[in-house]
Amino acid sequence: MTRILWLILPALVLAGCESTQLYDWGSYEEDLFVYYTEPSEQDAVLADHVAFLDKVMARGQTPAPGLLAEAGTFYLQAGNTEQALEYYQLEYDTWPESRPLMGSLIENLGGQ
Amino acid sequence: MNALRLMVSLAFAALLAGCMNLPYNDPLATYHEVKPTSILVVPVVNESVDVQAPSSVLTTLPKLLGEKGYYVFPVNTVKTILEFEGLYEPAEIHQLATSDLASWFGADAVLYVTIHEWTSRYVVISTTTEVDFEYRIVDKNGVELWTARENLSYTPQNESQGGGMASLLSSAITAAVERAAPNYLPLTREANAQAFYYGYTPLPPGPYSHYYEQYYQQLAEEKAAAEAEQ
Repeated sequence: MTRILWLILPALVLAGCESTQLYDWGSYEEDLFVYYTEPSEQDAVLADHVAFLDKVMARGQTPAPGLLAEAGTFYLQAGNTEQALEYYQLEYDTWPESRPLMGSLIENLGGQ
Repeated sequence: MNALRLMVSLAFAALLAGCMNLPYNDPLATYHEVKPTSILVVPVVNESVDVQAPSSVLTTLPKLLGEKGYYVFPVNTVKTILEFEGLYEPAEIHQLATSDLASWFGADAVLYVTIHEWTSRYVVISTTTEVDFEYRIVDKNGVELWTARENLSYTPQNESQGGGMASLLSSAITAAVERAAPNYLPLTREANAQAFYYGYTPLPPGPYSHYYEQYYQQLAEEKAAAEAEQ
């Protein structure tokens, strides 16, 4: 009995489910790994990451959790506080769960 | 594809439980009660001698957890903030009270990962890497919600990872990834997938997952059915 169901169930589930990814992560994993292991490439990683996020937002999609904040931190480490604030604010606006953290980062950096 | 397998195995387990009249036992009872929404991934403790191992593990966790339907705090931002606070050692971070960490960042739960082993052995034609990772998710009150231990023996495939990846990355980054030993990320992706998707207790879906409602509804039905039989 259960053997038959084991054969039918996948078909039933397949019929009912959507196998779409929730978000586009681009090359975030590779970018971040390179950011850590090849510090000389940090500028290239920042540029790549920001360009990718611009594309995602231009498509009207929600960037994956944390990716906007990561852009902010890349900018912060590069000495660009203004852009860092902009991206922390974007993360704050996009993800309610990020607000305590983003809120205090923005405040500490002298934003509103 | 992975979520599909999860749903199928969950349904099958529900059937089995019904057939065998076992007393109702939910190994993830606390997890199911707490239902964390956001997960803070802190830097990884490394007990191996491979210095790139922790970076590799850390960078492949956000996508997995995010696709499971959780808000994942930005791992590099978290690491940077902790370092700014003088916390450079993952071991030290792991010793802090979870309630403190959780409240500083505003997280429901914290994921701690420890690399117990990461050893590459050079067999005639290829490299085999043995890894031993331990994962713990602890909620903001210090209660352990979920654990997994993965012992994996990984041998990379012969074909390169190129093609699609090259089209996304600038050539500088592509070259950098290939220089930094291209097998790190596929290995940790596989180990993480084993832990979160294919273990005895796969990680339940988070609130942003398409399967979240289904999962908890099925759980409620299973529980009601099991209790009705007792």
